[in-house]
Amino acid sequence: MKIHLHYLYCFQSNRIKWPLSVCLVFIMSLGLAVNAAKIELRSQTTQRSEIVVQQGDIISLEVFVDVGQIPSSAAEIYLSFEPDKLRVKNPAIPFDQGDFYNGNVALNKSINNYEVGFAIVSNALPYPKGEGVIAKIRFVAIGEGTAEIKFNVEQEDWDRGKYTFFTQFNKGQAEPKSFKDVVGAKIQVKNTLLQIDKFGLQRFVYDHPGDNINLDDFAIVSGSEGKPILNWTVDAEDKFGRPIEIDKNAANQLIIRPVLPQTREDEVKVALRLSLKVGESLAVDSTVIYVVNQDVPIIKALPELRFRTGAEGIILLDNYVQDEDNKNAELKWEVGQLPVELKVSGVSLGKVDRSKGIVDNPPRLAFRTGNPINSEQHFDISLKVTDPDGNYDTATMRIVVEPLPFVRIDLVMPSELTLLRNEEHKLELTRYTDIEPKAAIDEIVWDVSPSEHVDVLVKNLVVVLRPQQDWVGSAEKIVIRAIFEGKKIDESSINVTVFDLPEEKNKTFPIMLIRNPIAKNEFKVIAVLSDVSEMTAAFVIPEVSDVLPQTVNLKKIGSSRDVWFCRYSLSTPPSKGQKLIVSIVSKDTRNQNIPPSTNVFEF
Amino acid sequence: MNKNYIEMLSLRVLAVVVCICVLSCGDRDFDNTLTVTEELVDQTDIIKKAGLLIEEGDLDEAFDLMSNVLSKEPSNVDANIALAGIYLARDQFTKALDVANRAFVNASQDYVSSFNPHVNKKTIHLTLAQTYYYIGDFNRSNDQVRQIINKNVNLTPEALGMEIERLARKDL
Repeated sequence: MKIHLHYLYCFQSNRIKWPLSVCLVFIMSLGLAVNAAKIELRSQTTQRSEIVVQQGDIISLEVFVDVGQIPSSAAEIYLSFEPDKLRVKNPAIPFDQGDFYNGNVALNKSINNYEVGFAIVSNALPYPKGEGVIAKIRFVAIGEGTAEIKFNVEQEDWDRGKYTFFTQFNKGQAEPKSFKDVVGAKIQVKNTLLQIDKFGLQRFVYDHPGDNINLDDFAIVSGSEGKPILNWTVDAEDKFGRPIEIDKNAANQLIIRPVLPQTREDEVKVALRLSLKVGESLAVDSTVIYVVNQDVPIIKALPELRFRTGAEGIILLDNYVQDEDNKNAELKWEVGQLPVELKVSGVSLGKVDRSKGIVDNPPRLAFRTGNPINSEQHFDISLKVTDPDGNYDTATMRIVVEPLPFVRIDLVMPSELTLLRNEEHKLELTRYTDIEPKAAIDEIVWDVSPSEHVDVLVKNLVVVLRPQQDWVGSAEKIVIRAIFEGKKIDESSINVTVFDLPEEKNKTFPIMLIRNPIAKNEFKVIAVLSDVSEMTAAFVIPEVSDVLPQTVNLKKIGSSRDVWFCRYSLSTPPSKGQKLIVSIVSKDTRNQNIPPSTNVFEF
Repeated sequence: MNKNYIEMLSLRVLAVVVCICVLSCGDRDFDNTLTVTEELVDQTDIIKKAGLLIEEGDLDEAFDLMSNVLSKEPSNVDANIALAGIYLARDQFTKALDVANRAFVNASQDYVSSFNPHVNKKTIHLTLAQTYYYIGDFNRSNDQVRQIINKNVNLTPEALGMEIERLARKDL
């Protein structure tokens, strides 16, 4: 038919060409007006002719027709497009047959680089009518801008034999018909073809310090025309702008570990450029990432180490380091040049090289100065901590040595004190204080820190310890400070234990305390119990700070089977009314514990 | 005659020199006599001083002083009973028995020590009672207790210990 029409037109003499053309157009327009046939190029997914895509996207289109209620046996389609913006996905066989016509494909090819043609002839009854898809075609968007795909329906197309039409039966004969409504596709191609996921990339660097980076994972490439080969170029420099060698392997993996900074101050700046050639255009994106190491040890704010001349200042170094990935690992400490005025003392003695050394376990520094000074002296010491990964941090610690106040005070309270329940106890501060000059004791302000259950009061140089009502317990620490002119010049602490006197029921076996008739500070403790293998006596004198609790093993009196004794001495004669609590624990001959017995003796 | 006169004069001079020498020797003997007297006078003070040391708990110093007294006067009751108390405190019971028995033998019935007015004959019995008790000789310990309380008792070890504890707590 097409050939017939073609010949019908082309083989006419020029003399009648123009009148024939006018007649043919009139015939076609008359026929279309009657049939009201429609052809449309539209998206397979949205079934709209106006489509928005990005460079590289594949556009799937379908040729949709509505031929009306008169059957059609064939159609011939030609599409024209802009080759700088679109490319046929499969130029050799551009179209796929649709389901409207069931027949032979007579034409399916690229005519040139901007036209494709498709023709199909039904070879079996019944011929289709109504609407349906004749063919499908896929394009690739390659150039930015608005691209149109048009059906060839112009006069010149007819002249070239590349005209879009269909056939329709009229009185049993198939006649060629033009479509009345012809709708091509209008495609807007955006240029966001290639993009680096900059935030994702930077986050990965933060979260996975030292791990290789699969760069392609962070490239956003629009379109799905296979897996494009991305081209990455990489340059790196340190924080001073000096170039650093950084490697990228064939799989586009950036090798980070060799350039990973070892301190929190350092960072490596990596410039990345991503390019992809699509058609004649080159899509490019670039970014800069900063490689930092989050797993370095961080020296937190070191305190100012302040101590008086003659005293000792100690700092436990590990308390001031934060290292997330090596929380329990042993850190290596190094100190810089130590000032000659400072002497290293304490447990670190011999573990620090005075010129530049390593402080090994236990990582603490103790300093002492002996020379008298008139005013505060400041020393700055550089410290470096290194974790097992070789990452490190540095910091400067300030040491302040204070001069002695003109008042020298030495406060040494008893370290342990045992009180009786509900009984207060008094300590005379003058007894425990060595002060120079002596008269300055009246200028001292005494500050106390009570414990949870023991109240403390200082009045007229007497410390009054008062256990809370009915409370008994052990080792509550109270602190007493001597403050002169607003400065703490010494402090001492006491561990207070509050006892309850044993009750009668605690005497599970007899305990006697026999005083020496001549030396009145000397005693023998006698316990009477049979079938015993060993006995130990514990002595507590409540409220007497000078006498610490002690334990003594008892001996069995030779010819007796059940009488045990031990010696107990006091350094000073006991005062009248003073109490001594004796508890005896023992084991029987089968090595089983015997319930302890306790007795209270009053002098 | 002149020759005889010279010989006589020489003899007289020699006699004066000899007298002077004899008188000088007499001075040294007098000094020694004074020293001995001082030592005899100091014994009582030493015992009192040792008694103070015992009261203060300095048994070692007291032991040295009392031992010194005893070396010069082995029968000194004060020194013997004081040393008995120190030996008893040190768990040296055999030595304690030795010196306590010596004190008991030499002490009169109304004996009161010079270093502590509360130490008397009954104190010696109590020292012996405690010492016998600690070596496990409860019979002899009972004997000593009987002497103190003037009662014919025969106590079990437990009761004996309680009685000795009671007696030691008060002044006898």
